[in-house]
Amino acid sequence: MSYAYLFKYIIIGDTGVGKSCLLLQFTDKRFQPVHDLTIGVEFGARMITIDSKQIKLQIWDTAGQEAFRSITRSYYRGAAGALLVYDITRRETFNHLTTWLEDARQHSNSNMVIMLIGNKSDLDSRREVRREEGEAFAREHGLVFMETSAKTAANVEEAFINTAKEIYEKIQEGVFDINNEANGIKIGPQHSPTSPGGLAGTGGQGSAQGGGCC
Amino acid sequence: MSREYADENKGCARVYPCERVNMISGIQIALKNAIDVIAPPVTPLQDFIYHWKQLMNFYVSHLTDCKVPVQNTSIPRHLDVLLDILLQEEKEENEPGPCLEYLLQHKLLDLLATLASAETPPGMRTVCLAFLRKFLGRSIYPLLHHTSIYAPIQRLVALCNGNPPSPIEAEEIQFLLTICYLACKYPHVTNIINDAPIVQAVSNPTKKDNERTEIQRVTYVPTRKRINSNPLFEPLDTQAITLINPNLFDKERRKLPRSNHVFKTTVSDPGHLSRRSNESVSSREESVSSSPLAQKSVCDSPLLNTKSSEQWEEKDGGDSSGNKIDEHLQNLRDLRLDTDCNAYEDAGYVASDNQSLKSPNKMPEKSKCLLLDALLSYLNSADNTVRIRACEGIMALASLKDPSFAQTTARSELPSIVSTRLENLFNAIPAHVDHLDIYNVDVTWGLDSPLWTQEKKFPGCRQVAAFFMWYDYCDRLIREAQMELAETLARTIRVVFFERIVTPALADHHVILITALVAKCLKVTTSSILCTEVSYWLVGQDRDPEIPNVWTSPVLHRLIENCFTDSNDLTVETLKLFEEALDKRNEHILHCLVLIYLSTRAYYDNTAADSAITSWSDEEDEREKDKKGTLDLSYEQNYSRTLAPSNIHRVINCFLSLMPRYLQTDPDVNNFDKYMPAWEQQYTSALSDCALMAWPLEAVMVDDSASSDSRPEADHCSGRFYMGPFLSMLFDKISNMPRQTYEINLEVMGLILRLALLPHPYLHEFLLNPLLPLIPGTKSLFLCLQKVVKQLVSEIPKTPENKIMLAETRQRLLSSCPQEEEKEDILCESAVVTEELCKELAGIAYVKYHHSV
Repeated sequence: MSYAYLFKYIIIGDTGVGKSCLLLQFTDKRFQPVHDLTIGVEFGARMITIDSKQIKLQIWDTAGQEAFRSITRSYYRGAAGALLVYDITRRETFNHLTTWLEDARQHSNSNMVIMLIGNKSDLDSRREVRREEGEAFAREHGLVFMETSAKTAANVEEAFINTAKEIYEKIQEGVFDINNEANGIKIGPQHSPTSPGGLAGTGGQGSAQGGGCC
Repeated sequence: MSREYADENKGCARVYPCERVNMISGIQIALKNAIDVIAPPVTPLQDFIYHWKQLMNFYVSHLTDCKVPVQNTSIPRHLDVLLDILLQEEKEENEPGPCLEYLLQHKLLDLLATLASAETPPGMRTVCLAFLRKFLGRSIYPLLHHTSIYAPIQRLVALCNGNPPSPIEAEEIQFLLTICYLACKYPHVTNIINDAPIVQAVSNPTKKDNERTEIQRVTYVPTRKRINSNPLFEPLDTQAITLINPNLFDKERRKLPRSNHVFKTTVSDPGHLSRRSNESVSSREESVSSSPLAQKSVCDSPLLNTKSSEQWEEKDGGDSSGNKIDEHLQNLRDLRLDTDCNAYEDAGYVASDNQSLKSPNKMPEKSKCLLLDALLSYLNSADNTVRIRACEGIMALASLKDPSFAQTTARSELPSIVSTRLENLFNAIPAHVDHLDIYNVDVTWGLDSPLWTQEKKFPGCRQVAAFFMWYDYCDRLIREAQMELAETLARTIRVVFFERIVTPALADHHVILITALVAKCLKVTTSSILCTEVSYWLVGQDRDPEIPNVWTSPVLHRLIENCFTDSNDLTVETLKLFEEALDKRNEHILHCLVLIYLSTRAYYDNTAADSAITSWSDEEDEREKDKKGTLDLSYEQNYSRTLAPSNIHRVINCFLSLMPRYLQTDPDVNNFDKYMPAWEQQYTSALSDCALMAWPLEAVMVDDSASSDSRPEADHCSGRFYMGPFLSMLFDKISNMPRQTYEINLEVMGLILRLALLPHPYLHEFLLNPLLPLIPGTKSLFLCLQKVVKQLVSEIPKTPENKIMLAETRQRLLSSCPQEEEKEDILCESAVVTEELCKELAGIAYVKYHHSV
C-alpha cells in the first residue's frame, strides 16, 4: 500500500507497563490481558491519515527488562518518534523515567518526538502516580503527555496519532531532513527525492557543513 | 493400550473404537472440560496432578507406536492447563505453591525434556519448548537454580542447534532467548546455564558458595566433555545418534565422570541405576497415592452418578496407568542403559576417565558456553528473524555484567565466528558492484531494516546490505559487550577481517570497490574499541614517526600509493577513505597521520623568529617570551592564543586576496560570513571530540630537554622537517589542483578543511598561519596554494572567453541540481575550487579565532 511518509516509532518503558498491549490495541484494536514476555523487539504497523496524507507508522515494541537494554538501544537509531510508557499504578515505573529518557536522548537523533504515556488509566482505584505528576515531568523535559488505557483503548489512537502529527509538523518546519533515513522518516515510493549534486551537495564538508555556497 | 482414551472419554472410547482418529482428541478434551466445569477438582494441586497424569497416560498407551503428531493428541492442551494452573497459583499465593512444589519435587521438567529429546510423539519438542518458555518467562520466581529445572533446561539447550537447520528453529530460538533473559535477570544462574568450565569453578577461590561449586562440578562436566570431546557429537543429533547407533553415543558417554547423577534421565552411569529405580518406585508410590484423590473429586459430584461405574473403572485405570507410565519411562531409560552397560566394560572407559580426572587443567579446547554456542549455531540461519533473534540473545549475554562470564565468552568461539561471518559476507559481495552505490547504503542489523535485503536498488545490493548489517551488528555488539569480550571481538575482527582479507584486497583488481567498502565501514563504526582496532590496521600500532621513504605501515603505504595511480576513481575513493578516517576524530589516527610529524615544531624557523615577531603584534611578542619561561601556566588558560592570533585580519586577508580579482567568480567577493554558521557548528563538535586528546594549548618551541625523546631517528633538530606521508600526499595533490579533476579537488579540499578545523596548535599554525616563519624549503599549504594560483593566473587568461567560462563553471558547479553535461574545463573548475577553498580556510581561521577569545 502506498504512503506519503513512513515514520519509525519505538515504545520504551519498564517491563509490565503495557507497551505490547498498547501496540496491540493500536494495530489490532484488541486487548490481551495475558501477554507473553517481549523478548528483544516486536514489530507492528498501521496506516494513518494526517492532513489527508497517508502515513505508515512502523512501530517497534521493545523489551522493558534491563537485561535487554543492550538490544533495544540498537533500535533507538533512526526512530522519528518514541512512546515512553509508565504504569500509573506502579510508582517505580514512573521513577525510572529519567533513566529511560537519558538512554533515549543519548542513542537517538535529537529531533525525535517523545510522547510520555501514563498507561492503565482504567485502574484509577489503584493509581499511585497522579496525573499532575506526569504532566509536570513532561513539561520539565519537553515531552507531550497523555494518559491511556490499552484495556479500554482510551487515548491509545490519540497517543500514536498525536506523535505522528508532531513529527509531521516538524517535517513541514524543515526540522527533519527527510532525505536522511536515519531520521526515521522515509518518503513513500511516489515521492522519490532528487539527489543534490555539485559542490554544494557533495563537495568539501558537504552542503550541511561547507554551508550554502549557492 | 486403550486405557488412555478410555480414561479421558469416560465411555466415549467405546463409541469410537478407533482411537487414532484425529478428531477424537478434540471431542475428548471438550467433554473433559465440560466435566471439569460441572465438577471442578477440589484443589489446584489435584487438578494439576490430574492433568499431568493424563498427559503421561498417552505414553502408556503408545509404548510402541508414537506416530501421531503431537497436535492431534491431548498433550498440548494438558500442558496449557498445567501452565495456567502454575501461573494462577503464582498470582494467588505469596510464596511458591504446592503445584510448583510438585513440579520441582517430581521432576516433571526432566520427564518433559526426555520426551522432547525423543520427539515422542512427533512435534513434542516444539510443545515442550513452548511450555518451558512460557512457564519460565512468566514465573515470578527465580527457578533456574533448582536442579530439577536447570538440568532439563541444559539438556534442552543442548538440543537446540541451528546447524544443520532445524524445522522448528523459530521455537528453539524463542526458547533460547527466554533462557538468555533469565540468565540476564538472575546473573547468579549464568554459570549454571552456560556450563562454566570446571577449571574455573575449582580454581576460583572467591566462589564462596561451595554448594554451587559442587553443583557446577557435578553438572557441567558431563555436558562439556560430551560436546568437546567429539565434534561429531552435535547436541541436536544426540538422540538421532543414540537411536541409529547407540554405540556411537557410548563412546562419548563413557568418558563422563561418574558423578553425573544429576542427569537422571540421560542415564549414563550404571552405578546409579539402582538409585534411579528407587526414585521411580517412590514417584510411583506418590502417583498411586495421589491418583485416587483426583478421581474422587470427580466422582463426588452427584451429577455424574450415572457414570460412576465407569469412573471407578477409570480410577483403576488411573492406577494402572501410573504404573505403566513409570514402566514406560523406565523402558526409555533402559534402552540407553543397556548400551551404557556394555560400554562400561570397555577398558577405554577407565583410561579416558582417569585422564580427565588427572589433568583437569589440560583442557585443550576453549571454554564452552552451552547457551552461547547454541545461539551461535543459528547465525547462519536462512530465516532472517531467527538469525536476528540469535544476534539479540548473543548481545544480551555479551552485555551481562559478570566478569568471569565475560572472560568465558571472550574465550569462546564467539569472536572467531562473528569475524568469520564478516569475512564470508564480505567475500560474497559481487565484484561488479558499482563503488558509487556503496556510500548510500544505510542499514542496521536489527529487524528494522529488512528493506535492503529485499529491494533491488542496485545489482549486488543484497550482498552489500547483508555485509553492512553484519558489520553494524559487530559494531553494536562491541559497544554493548563487557570490556574483555569487546576487546577480543574487535581484535579478532581486525586480524581475521581487516588484516587477513582487506589488506591484500587493497592491491587487487577490485581495489576501488574494496576501498569504498572500507571507507563505509569506517563511516559506520561507532564503537571506540572497534575504531581503535581499525585505526591500528589503518596506520599501524607504532606511534613513532615514519622516516621519509621508509614505510612501516603497509596499509597506509598502500593507500597513499593508491592515491597516485592513473585511476581517478581510485584516487577519489582512497581520499574519501581518508576523509572518513579523519572524521572518526580518533586520537591514534590523527597522531600517526599528521600530528606526530608536527609535534616538535620542526617546520618553525627559529632563526627568523625575530623578524617574524615584528610581523606579529607586540602583545604576541611578549606572549612568546612569557611562554618560554612559564610553559606550564599556559595549560591553565582555557583558550589558546595560537588559535586566536591578534593579527587574525592579516591571516584572513592572506587567504582572501590569494586569488586575483579577475579570476574570482563569486560576485560577493570577500564575503565569507555565509560560511560561518556551518563552521561554528562544526568547530564546536570538533572541540568536544578532541577535548580529551591532551593536545597542547599553544604552539611553542618545546625545550630540548623536554623533547629529548628516545627516538634518534626522529631527530627533527637537524633542521630537516618531514611532514609525514599523508600531508606530503595532500600537499602534492593541492599543488596539482590545476591539472586534476573536479572530483579529486573536492576531496582534497575536504581533507584540508577537516585538518584545518582541528583545535591542535601546531596543526593550526602550520595550515592556517601564512605568516609563520618556516625553515627554508618547507612546503606549506599557503605556498602550495600560491603556486596553484600562479599557474591559474598564467594559463586561464590564455583561453578565449575565460571570464564567461569561469562564470558558467561556477554556475554549473554550485547549482544543486546536476545539469546536462556542459563543456568541462579543468582549469576553470580548479579556479572555482581554489577560490572556495581560500574562503573556507579564511572562514575556519576566523571561527577558531572567535572561539578562542
